[in-house]
Amino acid sequence: MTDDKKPFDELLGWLDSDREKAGQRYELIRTGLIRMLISNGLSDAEHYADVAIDRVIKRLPEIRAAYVGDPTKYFHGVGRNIIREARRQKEIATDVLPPVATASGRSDTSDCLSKCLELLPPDKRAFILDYHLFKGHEKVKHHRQMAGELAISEGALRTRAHHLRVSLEKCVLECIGQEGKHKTAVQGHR
Amino acid sequence: MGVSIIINEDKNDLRRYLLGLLGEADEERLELRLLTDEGFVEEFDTVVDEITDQYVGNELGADERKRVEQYFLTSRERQQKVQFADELMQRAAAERSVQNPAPEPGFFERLRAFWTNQPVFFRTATTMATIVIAVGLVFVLYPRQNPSGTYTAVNLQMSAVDRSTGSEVKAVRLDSAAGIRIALALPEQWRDAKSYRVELQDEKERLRDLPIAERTPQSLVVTIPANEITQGGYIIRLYADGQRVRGSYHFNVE
Repeated sequence: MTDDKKPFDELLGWLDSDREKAGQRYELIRTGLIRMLISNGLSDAEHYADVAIDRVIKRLPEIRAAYVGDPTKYFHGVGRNIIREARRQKEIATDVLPPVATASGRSDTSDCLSKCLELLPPDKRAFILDYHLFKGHEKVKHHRQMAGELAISEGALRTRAHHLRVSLEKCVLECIGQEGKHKTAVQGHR
Repeated sequence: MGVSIIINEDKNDLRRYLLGLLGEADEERLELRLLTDEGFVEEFDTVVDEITDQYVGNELGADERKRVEQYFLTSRERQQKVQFADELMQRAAAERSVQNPAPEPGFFERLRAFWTNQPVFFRTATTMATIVIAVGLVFVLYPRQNPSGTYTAVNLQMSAVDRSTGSEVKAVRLDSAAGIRIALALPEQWRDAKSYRVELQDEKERLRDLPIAERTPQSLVVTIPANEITQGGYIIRLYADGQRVRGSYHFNVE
């Protein structure tokens, strides 16, 4: 066992004596922290979530000796501290309106969306585009109609669309990341 | 991890959290649930997508749009989501609108289409005739039907259940009343609060505060003019001393 792995194993041990359950609990805490940090205006939330987890790992011997209570609450407290620190460092631009996408950013998203949609089976591609076709009241009527055609509830339709959208969005973000690296490499060669 | 039950109230709390409208205690409760409940995380993501789509589709009122810009969209991740949603909707409109014509128009939409296709002289003559008939009817009927701007009175009890369960949803008929006068029974433990806020949510999940017209030790009275309310289901939420009171009041305008 490497030195890096040992503290992490200890963290899992603190979360649950059953390693599998501890792993699930760890994942849930991390994804929850990421959502909490994003919702409080932090960019690069994955990095900050890892910072929170590292802090807990470093203090684990003292925590285990002195802290009584649910580990989740401890993580939540550390996450809140990180938000406060980031606010103090003015990491959070609370008065900034969403920037209009730059031409290059938009074109990357558009190109990557085309590529990712191509990777989907035709029925799923048609489904996700149909789901996002209308706005307002027409959207509500259209989703009802789609659910009826598929013989599923509107809730199930919503869940199905959400899962597909999550994977599509992930594909697009990974693609944009790769495009960005490619552009940097091309510029480096110039 | 367990199976989580997501009710409308959770969805509303998530929306309020994402727009920075929850009190500190509710915020902490919600964040702890985000760190422990897988189903709740999925619902959270769905509400994020809904707000993003409503923002991109320009479906939000001015207040909510401002809150989205000042709170919801401050992180880079959310701004990327907006860009993604915008592209996805544009692509859907470009590729699928031919295969999927807009849903069948309703009666009023068809009526409007018929009206706008008529010649101007026909529309002018019809408008004049309608005004004359309407003025005549007002003179004949108004004193008898609505003597002093009467309000339909409704007494509502706080309920812990979801609107869709139906049994505790009170039906309200507006008829010719000037509006609805709602007496909200205060839960016992909240009767000594110094301040209250009453929030109304319609079927499209639009929120607005209702001014409190009257306060007694056991209840609050709010009024809603008839021109500010349409048919459909409504939820009222109560805040006491800045804190959200668990449960809600439900009614249905028929």
